[in-house]
Amino acid sequence: MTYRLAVTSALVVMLLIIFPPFHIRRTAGHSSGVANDHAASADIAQSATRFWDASLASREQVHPTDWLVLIKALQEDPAQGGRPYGRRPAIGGPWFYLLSGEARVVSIDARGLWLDGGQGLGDWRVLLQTGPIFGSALRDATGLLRLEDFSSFDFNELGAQLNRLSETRVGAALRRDARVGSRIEFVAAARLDGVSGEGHTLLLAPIRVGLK
Amino acid sequence: MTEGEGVLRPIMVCMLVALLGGCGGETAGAPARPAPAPRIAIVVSTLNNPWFVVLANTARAEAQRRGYAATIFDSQNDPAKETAHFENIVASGYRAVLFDATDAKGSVLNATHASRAGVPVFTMDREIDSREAAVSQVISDNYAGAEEVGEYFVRQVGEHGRYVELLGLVGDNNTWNRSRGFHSVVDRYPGLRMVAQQSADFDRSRALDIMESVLQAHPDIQAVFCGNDAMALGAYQALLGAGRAQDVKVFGFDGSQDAIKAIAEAKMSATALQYPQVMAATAAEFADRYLRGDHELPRRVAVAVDLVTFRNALSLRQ
Repeated sequence: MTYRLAVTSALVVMLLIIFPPFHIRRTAGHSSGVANDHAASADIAQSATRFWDASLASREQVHPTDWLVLIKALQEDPAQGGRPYGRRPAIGGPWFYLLSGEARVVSIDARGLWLDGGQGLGDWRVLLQTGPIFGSALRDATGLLRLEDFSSFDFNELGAQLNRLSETRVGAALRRDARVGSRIEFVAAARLDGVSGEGHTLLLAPIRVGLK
Repeated sequence: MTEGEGVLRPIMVCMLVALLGGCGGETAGAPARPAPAPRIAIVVSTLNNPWFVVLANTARAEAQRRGYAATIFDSQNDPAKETAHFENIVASGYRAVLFDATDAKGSVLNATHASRAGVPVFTMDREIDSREAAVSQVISDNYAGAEEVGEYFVRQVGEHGRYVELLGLVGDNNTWNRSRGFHSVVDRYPGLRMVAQQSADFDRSRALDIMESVLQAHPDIQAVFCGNDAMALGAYQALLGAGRAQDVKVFGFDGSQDAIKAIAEAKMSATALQYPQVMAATAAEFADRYLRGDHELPRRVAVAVDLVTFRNALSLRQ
């Protein structure tokens, strides 16, 4: 009797293994799963760090434009003036610039340092960001990273990770040490502020800075 | 048989032959009948949404302008219908497919099937999760658009508040790129707390129902971010019904004319304007170039998205 029960139980177990009554599946059926996201983020974070060290922060790899040259060109033609100095990866999208220069800090707020170049900026305002950095200027300004080499998820995450590197590696020290009146030299990725609607504002995401 | 009949009969036979055969026959010395235009298939996820109607019609117009006969296939948001369309397309000798997918993962098989059968696929708007299945993918820069909506959200709502997010179809990459772009901004402000996040499948009436339930559970919200304008307008309707339309800010995505009108009338706060015409025309251009031998096309290309607020809504109203 016991033998028969054991054999029956074994058969039932085997049948349940071969024909399981239910399957456990990810309900969203999508790569938004938390575990996947973390794995992808870790890879992309490493890619971002490599790109920052080998390309963005490299004096050989990037060739920035003098920021005052760009401002002058934009003053003359806000729509097209920046074209020779920038890159526009998306069809109809914003232009991104790689800039360098020297400036004086004229004010500081939660978003960053407002700069003056000693020449008339006209109605242009320039913010060297130290607070949360958004947008894809750091990813797109060099033209070295292309959407077609990534999935859109990874490409977007790459931009976000580069922003974090700018905040932690450059922005944090700048926020701590800069004062109104400080003179500063910088290399930064830039875009126009499309959100505020407060005239012409150039947003700089810092790559290298030096306080004088 | 009379003599007259004997003369007429061969003439009548010739006339009959000419009438029957001459209709389609290509005879020496006669002008050659033009070859039928090569055919392009346009497969769209749904035609039950004006946005996709614009996408499909623009793709068809651009393909026709480039000398193709173009046919639109409506998948009705049903992956099985999409599969049937692809089987039909492959069997019917279409030269290329302009493709708006129903599902980022599920649609890869259909695109692969067509590609392997020698029918190249060019996606527009909705991305599929494969680098090989499509020759080129023309997508909206959803993340950047949602990032800008997120930045504007923080400026409008402030750095403290409670909000709701209504997601689109969970199998669509656009849904997640919009959600992630938005959260890449608002999650940096710990005082902004999302109290509910639910999918309303890009559908206005589902959004209305969900928002009514959410308002009962969370009457103290200050804002709602929706993955498209149809859901935003559904959410607004729910807020109106609950008497909360004045104090809860509504943010959408797409740039539909209804949403732009609502923004101009201060019923909604912002949306992100997409350009389906640009995506469709670019996909058709890429297909044409590919069929003419240009195989150096970008694997993926983004089309920009613009923020629409009260400041520019009036100028965008048609």
